[in-house]
Amino acid sequence: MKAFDLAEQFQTPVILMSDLDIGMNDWVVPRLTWDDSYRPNRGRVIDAEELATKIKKFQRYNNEDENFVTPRTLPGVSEKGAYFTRGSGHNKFGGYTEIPDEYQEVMDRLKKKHAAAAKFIPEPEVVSREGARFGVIAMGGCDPAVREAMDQLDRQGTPADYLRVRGFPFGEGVEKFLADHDFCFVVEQSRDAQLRSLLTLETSVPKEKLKSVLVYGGFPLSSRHVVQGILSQL
Amino acid sequence: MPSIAKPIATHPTLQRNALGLTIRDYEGSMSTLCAGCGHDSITAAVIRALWELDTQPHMVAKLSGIGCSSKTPTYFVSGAHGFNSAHGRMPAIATGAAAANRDLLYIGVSGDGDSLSIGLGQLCHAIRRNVRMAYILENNGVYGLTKGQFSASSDVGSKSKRGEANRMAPIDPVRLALSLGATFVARSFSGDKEQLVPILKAAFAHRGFALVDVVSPCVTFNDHEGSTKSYKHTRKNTLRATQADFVPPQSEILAQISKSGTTSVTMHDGSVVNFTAVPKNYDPTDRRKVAAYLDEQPANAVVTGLLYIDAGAPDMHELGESSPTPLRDLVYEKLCPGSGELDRLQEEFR
Repeated sequence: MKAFDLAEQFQTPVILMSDLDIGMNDWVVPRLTWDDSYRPNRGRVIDAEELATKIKKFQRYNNEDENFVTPRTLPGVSEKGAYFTRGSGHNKFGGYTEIPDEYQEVMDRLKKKHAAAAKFIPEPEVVSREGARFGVIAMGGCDPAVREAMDQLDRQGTPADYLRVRGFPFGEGVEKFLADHDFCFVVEQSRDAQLRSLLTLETSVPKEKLKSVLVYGGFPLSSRHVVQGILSQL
Repeated sequence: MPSIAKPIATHPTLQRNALGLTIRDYEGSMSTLCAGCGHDSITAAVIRALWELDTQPHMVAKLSGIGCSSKTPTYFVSGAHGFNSAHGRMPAIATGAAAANRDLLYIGVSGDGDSLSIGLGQLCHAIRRNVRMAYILENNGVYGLTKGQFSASSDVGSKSKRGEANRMAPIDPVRLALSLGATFVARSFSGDKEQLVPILKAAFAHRGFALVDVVSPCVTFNDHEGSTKSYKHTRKNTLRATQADFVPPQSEILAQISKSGTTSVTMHDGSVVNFTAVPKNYDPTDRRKVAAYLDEQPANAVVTGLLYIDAGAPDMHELGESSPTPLRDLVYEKLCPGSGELDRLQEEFR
């Protein structure tokens, strides 16, 4: 539900990450609950009445708010609110343009909008341990195996803090965790260390502070992989 | 360079439809296609059809993919929402939009590259689901935007501008649609407005997926000697299989249905497609006979007309038993069954 709300609030696709092991097997899950007080957040949508009474001329990519989101209209509401979502260059009024400055202006707004979205995505989960010497970072389907590995490492006398990334663009919580640790292991089911790459591209962390534990043989991640991968690099 | 803006002024004597709108109210921005492009003639036919049908501009949704054809939705009905999808992905966008708001008239414009190569799977599944939309395939047998490569509809032996002959067999959208169970299949020629406008009107009224394949010559890359999608070749080889008149429901009582009409098909909204000329033993409601008729024609014939129609087949919403009220208009309390229903559902899995 949060993903749908974010998609509408920021008028952008939201991708939910899963993995093969979750998608292709049956799982026992806790009983699902539903909050009856929930109401969807449709974001900035101008309806027929507002178009008729308050809007002189609707301009699709103009009138941005503090998060650089501009209001939209829905099809079938009013001729006054019609606009064309085009694949080629357009200006902030929603019109076709081949003038570089006009197109660059709307592209710059999108960059600022995506940066603003970082404040609204789910904060990372952090599990801190007494005496931790380093951090461990993972995401998605890696989480249960990494949590189990953290317990095992603690029992073996190597406590570490754990951060589970829950959204991108990264928020302040990720930056703080990286800054608070001398070095971190990034655990991924990826040959190419894509999460580590994103962290080095999108945060201020020096890349030598990030070590990879990569598991991509095809089997689901186990705590054994994580423990061995970390201990072999300490 | 920005495109040229159209003048807003209209002639005061322009005829108005039942909504009080002139045909200019159904226009869009100025075309940036090559002068003489068949696509602009199709745009003019779309505008004419919508104006004659008294369509409310804001109740139209225009969708397209990528290509010269896919530029055209900006050239008609500026009062309607429009969407350029990724290459070949227009049918999925249209399906989603139709699921959310079943009350709009969806007009998808695509080309032979967009539909028959990268978007072939999308086209097939929109046909299979019988999404209620008019799908106009502006077919020029060439990739115009990328400067004239053969497309999947290029005929064997058809020559490119530099004289090279195509060797690969084409995909015929009409036969493809027939074989997949399409409920409305037509072909026309961009240079034949008299035939195209009634076909488009019937397609807009059809409750289901209406494929309208329109041979539309590319004047820059595929209108030369040796091309089988040129104006000259199409005019010479067109075989009008059927001539159809479209009679909208509000004028049905007053309409003079031709006595020479061989078949009349009543559409879901009460409008009538009156076939005034068809070959002997041709039945536009019999899929197998239509396919057999196409097989019998010479290989170079461009068979045109409203070729097949099944006005009674269920569309996507009927197949899915979805709400008669557009999902977009349902209040949240009706849209979300709530925690009680979720609990009941989970009990079923115990």
